[in-house]
Amino acid sequence: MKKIVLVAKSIEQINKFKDLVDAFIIPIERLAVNYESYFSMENLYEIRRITKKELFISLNKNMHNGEIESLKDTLLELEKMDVEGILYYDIALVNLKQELGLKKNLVWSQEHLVTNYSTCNFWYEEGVKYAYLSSEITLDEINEISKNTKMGLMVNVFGYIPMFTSLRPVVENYLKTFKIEDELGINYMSKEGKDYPILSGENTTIFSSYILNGLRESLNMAADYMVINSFNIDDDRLLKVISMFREVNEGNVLVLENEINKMFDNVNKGFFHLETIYKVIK
Amino acid sequence: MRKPELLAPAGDLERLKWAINYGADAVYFGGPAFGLRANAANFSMEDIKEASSFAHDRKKRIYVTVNISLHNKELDDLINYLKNLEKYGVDAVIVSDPAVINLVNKYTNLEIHLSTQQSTINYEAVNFWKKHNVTRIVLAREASGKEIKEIIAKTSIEVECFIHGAMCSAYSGRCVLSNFLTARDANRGGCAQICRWDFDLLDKNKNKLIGEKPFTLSSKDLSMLEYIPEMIDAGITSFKIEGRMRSIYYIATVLSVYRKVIDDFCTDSLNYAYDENLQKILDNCSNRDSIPQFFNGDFSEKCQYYNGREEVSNQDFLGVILSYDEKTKLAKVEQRNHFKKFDIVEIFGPLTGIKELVIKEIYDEDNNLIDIVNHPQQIVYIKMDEKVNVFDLMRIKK
Repeated sequence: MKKIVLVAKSIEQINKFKDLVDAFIIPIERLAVNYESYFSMENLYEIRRITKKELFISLNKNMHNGEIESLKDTLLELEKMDVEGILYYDIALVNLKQELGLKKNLVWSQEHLVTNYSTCNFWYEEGVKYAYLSSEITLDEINEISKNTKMGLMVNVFGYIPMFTSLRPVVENYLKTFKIEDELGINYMSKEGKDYPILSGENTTIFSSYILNGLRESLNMAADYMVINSFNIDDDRLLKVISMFREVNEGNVLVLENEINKMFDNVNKGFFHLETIYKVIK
Repeated sequence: MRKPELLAPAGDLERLKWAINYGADAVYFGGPAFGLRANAANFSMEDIKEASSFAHDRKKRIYVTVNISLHNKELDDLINYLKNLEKYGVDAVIVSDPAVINLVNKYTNLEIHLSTQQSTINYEAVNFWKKHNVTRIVLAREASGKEIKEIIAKTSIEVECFIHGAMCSAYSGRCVLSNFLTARDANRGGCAQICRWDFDLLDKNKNKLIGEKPFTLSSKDLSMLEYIPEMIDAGITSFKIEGRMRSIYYIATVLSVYRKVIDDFCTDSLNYAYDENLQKILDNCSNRDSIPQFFNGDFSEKCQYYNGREEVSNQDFLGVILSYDEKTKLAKVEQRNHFKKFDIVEIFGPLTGIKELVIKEIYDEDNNLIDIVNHPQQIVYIKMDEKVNVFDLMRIKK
């Protein structure tokens, strides 16, 4: 039975969804990136009190030297807490787990780089329990990875997908250069009728123009956790979507897909059935 | 003081030879597969064999990029490929996917350099890779000078840093704009450089925010010329130039400048002085502005580049010296861009240094005096009182 994981935006939202999902991803402030909201460690203790559901803690930033001590302290604190796993992008987390002898599970979460079973097995041998697969691989590739690794697998099945993470404040830089006034928050980069949401903060994240919808694919997907990204989607519609992921089966899948298509005007199957190319035939 | 390696890119065998002749200590390039420039000419296995002989005869080293993020179907062919790279004399492979590291360790004795695709930027990550026989880390371009020094102090591994060339706008490996906008896989060599495209920027209500130029993610290029002494003092092992798709002229120009600066500083650091003219030479052969960027902690608006794809077409490169007759003092030159009598030019090359001259006499192949050289690859003879050397290059003096 695949579990449903929600990327959490607020404690209020966690309260609203705690009976509907199996787990939450909780991004920690200053140590995570590509999320709409972040939580302090105090928030995390509170979340632990209000729900017994599995918690995955995201520390998925590229860590600079100056952040290593704070990262170490956070890992030591998490070691004492009841959390299921810690998402990492930076390899410093693996080294710290090994050097400090930490027992807490890690989730290999290098986004676009999580693309084959052999590398999953490399991290498994290093003591990493889960892999959060790339959204740029096909459903067949996901299932082939599952057949060839012992890792628990997480897959994005719904929501906007981060495509670009930068240390550069690209929106702020543009506004400053051309002396334009705007409140920073969510902007959009637009071309040929498609709008790509941009989140500006300590880092810049650009998301897909579409909402990935893998409802149909979830039926045949060999994943352990299906991740629903709440970024830029209101709770009312999110509640309906998650309920559909709960109740979907071969008999009702077309009806439910149609309902989702009616709720949003920009859903897409992403790369589930689209292989990317890398050699352009001239 | 340890002299750093000067590491040059090469898009093909010809450019590798130019790079070595113009002062590279080592050259990196892509082989027939698994590299991040899938659409470059790249090297065949036969080219790699020849590159190996050419480089090793001159006591230089060659590194091959095997730095894509593998998909399942690519795993099968990799072992033989790595074994062949070792057989043909490659010194190191530049990798990003740990699956490749495993295979290199299991089946070959090749040195492993960790690609900047992993965006390594702290000493803990470096120490992890060291345990897996990685001998060198190519640090993320986002590393500041202070961070680089701290990493070197807290690890004992070779560190390679970029000193010149184009920059990714995102953390390397953390951008798949190309996948989403063109279905070309950025992390398997298909990057369509979406960061150079123009877009409209909208506010939260989707109203346009209009500046004098369109919104783009594009960054200026990197140039570390002014900071070379500081980088040498920091103990960086290898100075890397970006640009496997770049021309012979670009490679020769950039290498000759950095070769001179590294040699001058390492020979006599006390009397070394930064030469602005050399920066000008570098600027003239680039098609975008170049600045030091993250090295001194800058990622402000000064680093952005808003001219989109309207890059400056460079016509400074005038010709290649094919021979020089010391009796007649005539240099045989193959034209690359239009030039004429009375133009002030510079001849430069590894043995020649930089020589300035005013073109006073030009002869065609039938020995007729001519005033203008305006046919592609036209062969002409130019009077040059001072000796120049084969494969020196001629550029317009600015």
